[in-house]
Amino acid sequence: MARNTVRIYTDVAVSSCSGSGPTYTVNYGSSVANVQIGDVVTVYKMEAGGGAFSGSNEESKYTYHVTGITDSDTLTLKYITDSNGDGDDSPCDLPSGTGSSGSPNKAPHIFDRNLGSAFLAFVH
Amino acid sequence: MEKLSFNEEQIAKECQCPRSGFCEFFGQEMTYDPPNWQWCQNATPEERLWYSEQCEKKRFRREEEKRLFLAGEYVTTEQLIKDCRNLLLPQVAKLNLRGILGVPRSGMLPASMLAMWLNLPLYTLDASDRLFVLSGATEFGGVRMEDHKGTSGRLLVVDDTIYSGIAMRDMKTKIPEHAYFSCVYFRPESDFKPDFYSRELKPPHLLEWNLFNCTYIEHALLDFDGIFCPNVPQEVCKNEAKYIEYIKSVEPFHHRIPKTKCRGIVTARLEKYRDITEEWLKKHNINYGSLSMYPTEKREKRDKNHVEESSTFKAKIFSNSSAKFFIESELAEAVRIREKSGKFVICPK
Repeated sequence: MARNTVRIYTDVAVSSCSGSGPTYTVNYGSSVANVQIGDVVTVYKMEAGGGAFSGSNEESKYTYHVTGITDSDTLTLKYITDSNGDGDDSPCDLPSGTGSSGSPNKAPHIFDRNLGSAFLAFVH
Repeated sequence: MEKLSFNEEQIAKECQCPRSGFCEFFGQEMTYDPPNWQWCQNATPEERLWYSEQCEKKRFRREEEKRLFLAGEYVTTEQLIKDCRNLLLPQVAKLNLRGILGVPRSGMLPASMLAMWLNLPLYTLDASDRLFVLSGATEFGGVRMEDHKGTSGRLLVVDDTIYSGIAMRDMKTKIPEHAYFSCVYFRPESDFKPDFYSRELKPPHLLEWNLFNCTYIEHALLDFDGIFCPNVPQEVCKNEAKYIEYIKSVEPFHHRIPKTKCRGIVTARLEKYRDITEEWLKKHNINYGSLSMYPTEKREKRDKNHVEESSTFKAKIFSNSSAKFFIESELAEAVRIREKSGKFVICPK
């Protein structure tokens, strides 16, 4: 069934993380006040310093769910899966490919909300 | 870190850990906050087995990262200068150059040296990407630069490293004229091939000139005395009042204040000086994850064989952490921490 999703935030920079998985406390560099529990966080993991994400060149696409909200810039995320099967990793340890080899930047986070199906049924 | 025992047969059915701590089944700390221990308490057997597979992959990845890091290179600023002078300078010295253009910020380091050695004007790009000569108070660098005004030579663009080639490609689009491109360290897999470079440098590498600015510092454990501030002089150590006064008021090494949060600080300073130490760190805006200090009651043991005891203490914490490298000020201790932990240790000069 087709699902409706809306983008809540694009490219939110992370400041720091704690926890060893599967859940992590993530502190963001800016407010994520519009996020709700259950929202989906996507992070494109790139080779450190090897070039930015350009649509399909990621090493792995990581998916987390928002499981807790501490304040406007601190959330709890739970690892769900990653496309390359690399396994659980901290959402702060995924490089964006930008920066330099001596100082790789962290991949930004994208927030989406799954709205569910648009129509449950058509009635004559 | 408390180690909790588990019964492997039972674990799939239910969590065996009565409280948060190190879980041998997952091979990692299961924290209370964020709620990883609580997650395990409520997880189904399938979810526990799924996560143990994830942890296995994570361990494998970390081992691989550790192996790569140990094969990596730490480049000192002294080495950068040597490689620039001995390997890059001879290649560019006879070119018809009208100036050196540095790629801010770290590229300005070799660019400035080359401009000095070749007696050429030093350029950068301004906020509008226009060529801007760094001439100080003079119009074009003073009388010594007169000969270079309006000459027909090319610009030499210089960066410290080319890794992906993004910065250089970006620079190339901004320079309206034909220029030479160069760097001191070049990653062979880069898709930007410079005209000149000193030598190849494969990843991973740590560069002394941006070590405390770089994001890798978040994966580092750091020694305290000798890294953030000068070591306490021997004569001061003998008098506790003077020692306290010293550690309260010592000036930091301003070039070693991490710009992001380091993983942790591990010091052979005694635990009883924790308050003073934490206050000093706060005063100098040093952001850290944890501060491990040497147990006060073991002071005599430490002082009988300082190098051995300190390095054993530091190596144990380093081994049990997920930190990728340790920055230690004393060479003798650095060697021992490396031996005992089997992990990457840097001893900056």
